[in-house]
Amino acid sequence: MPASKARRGLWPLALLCALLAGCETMPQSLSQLPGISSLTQKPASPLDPLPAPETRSWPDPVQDMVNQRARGFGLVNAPEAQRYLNGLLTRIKAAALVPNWPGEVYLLAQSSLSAYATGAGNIYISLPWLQSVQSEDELVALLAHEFGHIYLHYHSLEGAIASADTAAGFASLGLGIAYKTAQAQGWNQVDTLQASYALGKTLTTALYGQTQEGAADRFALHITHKLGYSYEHGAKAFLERQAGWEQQNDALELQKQEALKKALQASTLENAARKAPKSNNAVSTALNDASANLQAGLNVGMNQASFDLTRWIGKLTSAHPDTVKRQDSLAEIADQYPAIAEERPAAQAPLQAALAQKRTQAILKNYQTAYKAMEAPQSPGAVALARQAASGPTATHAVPLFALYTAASAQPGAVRGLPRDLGSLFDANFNSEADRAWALYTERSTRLKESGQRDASKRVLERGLQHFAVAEETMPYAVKFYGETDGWDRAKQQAQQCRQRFPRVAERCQTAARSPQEVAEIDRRSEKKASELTDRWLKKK
Amino acid sequence: MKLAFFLAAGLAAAAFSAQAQDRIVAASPSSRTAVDLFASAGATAPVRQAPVAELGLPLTIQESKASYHRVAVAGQDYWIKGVHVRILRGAEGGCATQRIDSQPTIATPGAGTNACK
Repeated sequence: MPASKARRGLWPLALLCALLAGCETMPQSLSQLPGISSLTQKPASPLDPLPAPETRSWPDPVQDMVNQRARGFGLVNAPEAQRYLNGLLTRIKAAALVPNWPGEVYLLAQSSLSAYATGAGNIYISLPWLQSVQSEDELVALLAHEFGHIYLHYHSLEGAIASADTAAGFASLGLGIAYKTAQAQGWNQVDTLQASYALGKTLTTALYGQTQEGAADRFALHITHKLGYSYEHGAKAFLERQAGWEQQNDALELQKQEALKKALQASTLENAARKAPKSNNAVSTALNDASANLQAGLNVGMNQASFDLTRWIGKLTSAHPDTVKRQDSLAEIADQYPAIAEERPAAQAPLQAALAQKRTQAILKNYQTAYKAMEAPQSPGAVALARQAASGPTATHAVPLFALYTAASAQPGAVRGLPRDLGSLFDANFNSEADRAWALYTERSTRLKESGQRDASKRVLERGLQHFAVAEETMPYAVKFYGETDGWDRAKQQAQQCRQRFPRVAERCQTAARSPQEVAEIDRRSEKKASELTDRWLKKK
Repeated sequence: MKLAFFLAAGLAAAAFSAQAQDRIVAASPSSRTAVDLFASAGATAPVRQAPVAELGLPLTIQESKASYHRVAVAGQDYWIKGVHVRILRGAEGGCATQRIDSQPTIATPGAGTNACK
């Protein structure tokens, strides 16, 4: 490997370290957020009364729910399970002395362990959480943690991050292109700029996010104790489950990385073999092979460095503190206040009864089956699994229908008993008000557009927009869609409307309204600007 | 292309494996240096204390009763109090819906990092 190449491989790391050391202090708007000032304060006893909540104005929780339905596969319509979960939330609100606050619990159709709360007072948890928890204690701890975010009114963070983002002034650089090159080539100067930007912006917000999580954990401890649940089977088990999930996925990430490295190495060797001059000379062939191997090694090394650094940045800037730290923090409180850790039996019976309810049981089983079919759609049994998933109470649900569509699409030839136009399977979802998912509308309209059926594609999208008119999440896709079908002037007009109606997604709408020529020009300018900036910084060093 | 597809499908299937058996992975909190070992679940006094380094972590949980877990330490069965140890618990989750899920969110951070990224 030439020495200059090796140096080029190292300078981004050196620059990043220098930038890290000189990180900007937190933006003014962030320093004023609730919770930041308490970073150094000793945690309050979970046995003490809660601080009075701040007054607030509530966004419309129904509109919030529709917006969440427009994300990913949306929500799972499981009335009995939701009734059970909302019963638990009612008790949590009563324990927090805010029984009349708005908001409900909804089930996300995601296959991962996921949970979040919104400023409207709603809590969203993914179906696998319901299947993973071992007792009501654990489930209440999860819900109380999320409700803690609502109670402690940390949602103001979103606005502050947005303004800090704008203030950073890097938006014009269009740094999204960094990912394209980074994934293929390893680190380059644009990546480094992006990393430094990300660190500067997110270190402070992550620190803030970490205090949020700790506060929400302590809030959950207070509420679960007050409601008579066990620390061991509740808050402790909930965090242990979270840690188990993270570890499971770390292992998967490593496997993926290994597979990527192997593929990269193979592709580099293949390229080198193609480019190498043809020669029958044994010495020349040996030299070419050695050079190709070196290049492959370099590429893999660069990719590994990028991977390690990305993980490291991810850890530093994660809004969630290391789960072990959260576990330790709660365990220390339990040690300090023995009443918290007193032995209480786990409440398993009510959870088991809720999960054994006939329709809930069928829904859980069918989703699990659908996820399996989606993970290996080409496997021989995938269509049968997906058919089973898209039956009974989930015959109109988005995930099972998408599983059937994916599995049938992956099989060679038509599948008996299914329509030739597999996208028409989604009609069952479109016709069921409680189950409609925006993702199916976008999938259907995109495929129709790609196959030249422009009018049919528009009809599908417009039908979807009628149902999701109040959902800001639909807007960026719609703007781009109209740009591609009706021209970019119309897209720009729609982006303007989007800005007025949905300020939170205004930037995404504006980006979506860019024509391919404009995107190419921005990419070109960004790369040029990034090169100039990096060169200037390097000269300073 | 096909190979990459099967590779991805295989990895995804591995992620959706059944809940792994729960294991004791550390003392709780991490600063705890020794753990009480009990002769039976619910016993009030420990038979001995074992330094964490001598427990041979991770320990497979053989049986759980109330707040105690039966484990084998140095070839002998003991019961350990659940609050004194950190357990790694299995989860029924996977990344099947990842392609559709990966959209930006406007909400507070949730109960943990999203591991499907």
